Amino acid sequence: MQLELNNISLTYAISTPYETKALSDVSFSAKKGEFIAVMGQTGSGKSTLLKIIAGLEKPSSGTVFFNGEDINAYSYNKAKLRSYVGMVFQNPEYQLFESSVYKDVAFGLKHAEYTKDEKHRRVKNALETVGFEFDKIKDLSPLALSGGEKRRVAIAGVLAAEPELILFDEPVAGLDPVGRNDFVNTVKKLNKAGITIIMVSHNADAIAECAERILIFDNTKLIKDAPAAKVFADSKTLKNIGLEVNGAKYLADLLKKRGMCIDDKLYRYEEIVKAVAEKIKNAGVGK
Amino acid sequence: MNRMPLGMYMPFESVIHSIDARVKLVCFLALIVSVIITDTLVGYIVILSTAFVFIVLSRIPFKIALSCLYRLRFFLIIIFVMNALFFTSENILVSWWIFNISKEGILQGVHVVLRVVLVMLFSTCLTATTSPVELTKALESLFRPLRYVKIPVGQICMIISIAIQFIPVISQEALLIKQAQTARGARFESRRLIEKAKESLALVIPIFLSAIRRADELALAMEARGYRSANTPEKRSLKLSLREYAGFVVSAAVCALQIMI
Ligand SMILES: Nc1ncnc2c1ncn2[C@@H]1O[C@H](COP(=O)(O)OP(=O)(O)OP(=O)(O)O)[C@@H](O)[C@H]1O
Ligand SMILES: [Mg+2]
Repeated sequence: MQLELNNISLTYAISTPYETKALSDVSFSAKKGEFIAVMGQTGSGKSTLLKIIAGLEKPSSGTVFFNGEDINAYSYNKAKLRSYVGMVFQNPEYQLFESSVYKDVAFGLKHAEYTKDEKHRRVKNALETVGFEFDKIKDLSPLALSGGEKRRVAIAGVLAAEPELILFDEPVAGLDPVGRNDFVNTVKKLNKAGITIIMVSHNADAIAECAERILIFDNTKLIKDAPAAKVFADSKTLKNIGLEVNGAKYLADLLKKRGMCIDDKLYRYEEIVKAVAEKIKNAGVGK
Repeated sequence: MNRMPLGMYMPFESVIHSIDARVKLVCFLALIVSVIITDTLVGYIVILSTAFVFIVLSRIPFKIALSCLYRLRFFLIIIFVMNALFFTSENILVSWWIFNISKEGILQGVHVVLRVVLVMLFSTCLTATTSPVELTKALESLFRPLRYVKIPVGQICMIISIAIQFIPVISQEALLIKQAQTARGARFESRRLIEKAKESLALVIPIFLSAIRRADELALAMEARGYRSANTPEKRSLKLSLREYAGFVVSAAVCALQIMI
């Protein structure tokens, strides 16, 4: 997997009164196995970016190379791209429609020439990856499930194609803390298995738990592309563009103001808990 | 969605935009009547230049006004050809099998095409300069007298205006659902009709579900905010200024001219 975006710009509804610029001059590249999070305020162009990578929107200018091939070239086979790049939309639960969970997850495999056994293996595998017991869920109607379950089914539908790169748009919005944790663990597992992940999210906690690299968008532009530790170390810059650090880092910042010095590089929940525990132990509080 | 849908409202500021929607509707009707009764060259020139002036005044870019016509080009060509080929008359120029091309037929074709073009231009001018909400309010107010014959004008207009306001929302959502299904391997571009029909279920069902969900939510929200079906439409006083009078006079003049010539 190798992804490269060069000077991507996109303007919607060009030359009409509704013309909106969604992206201007965005360039970055991603390698196999990376976990990239995308942050940015509402309307900064994050969803548009994902759609361009998935080949669903054509950029007004600039090029996208996937595994060395220009995906918007006339001769490029878009159907092939769909099997390499999966995209989970915001509220994917609204795209379910088949009469059973099994059929819905298998929907995307319809056109691929897999044997029946292979299809079965993929659907089973995908449903188990998102935490279902295959036999219990496969015959239920997807429309009768709860919102969180529906979302997991929809994600399974994308996983079944076994893509090399998965794009998530706001995957944890509207989930309860347990659902969010489950999701974070699932994507971490996928990423460990070698799948590249690009995830748009407003949820700094989820991002802090799993992303290694963060892209920040502000008003259609890519303004920062840095390792997660670096981005969270600098909570001031984040605040300036209307974003927030994760809860654990926020706590660390508060403690720092009160005089407890915690290393700026730490930002993950577990790291902070450990550091705070150590400080307390060293200071002899609570004896 | 990189092109403008037909009949879309364009929020500019212009004289035509600021005219009261009810006046615009009445003028529009007068002009459509004029288009229908016109059949002389002078008549067409007058009415075409009226359309031209209105478009200039409303600040709609010519490109957009013409693109509406351009998209109907096949329709226009077909109605012209149908009229030209099948018009029965005495002085036939060319005759072959069941086709008779005559001077009258060609003229008739030109007439019909011109009329459709003019109606299109005037409707573009109306819908582009009047927001859907204004338009339904105008209808509501023009139909007010109907409530004396027990027609629930208020409710009907409420339904229409909600429906119109939901069109962009639902079409936006339809686009998203289409993209989502495409991303997971649906092939809507397929050439084979049966395959296309099967595939379209993946669009139709989610779109319906979301429309129903939205309708449900809206109904609850309206109830929660204390909506009672009011049978009497809101009464709005009509303040006529110079602009409105000018609109009336121009359209009435055009209409009268067409009746005379
Ligand atoms: N189909 C479309 N047609 C016209 N304009 C659009 C369309 N989709 C998005 N836009 C506009 O493009 C801009 C960027 O939208 P985008 O959805 O990429 O933002 P976002 O960063 O994902 O925001 P959010 O956090 O709210 O999801 C917005 O101003 C939006 O109004
Ligand atoms: Mg978005």
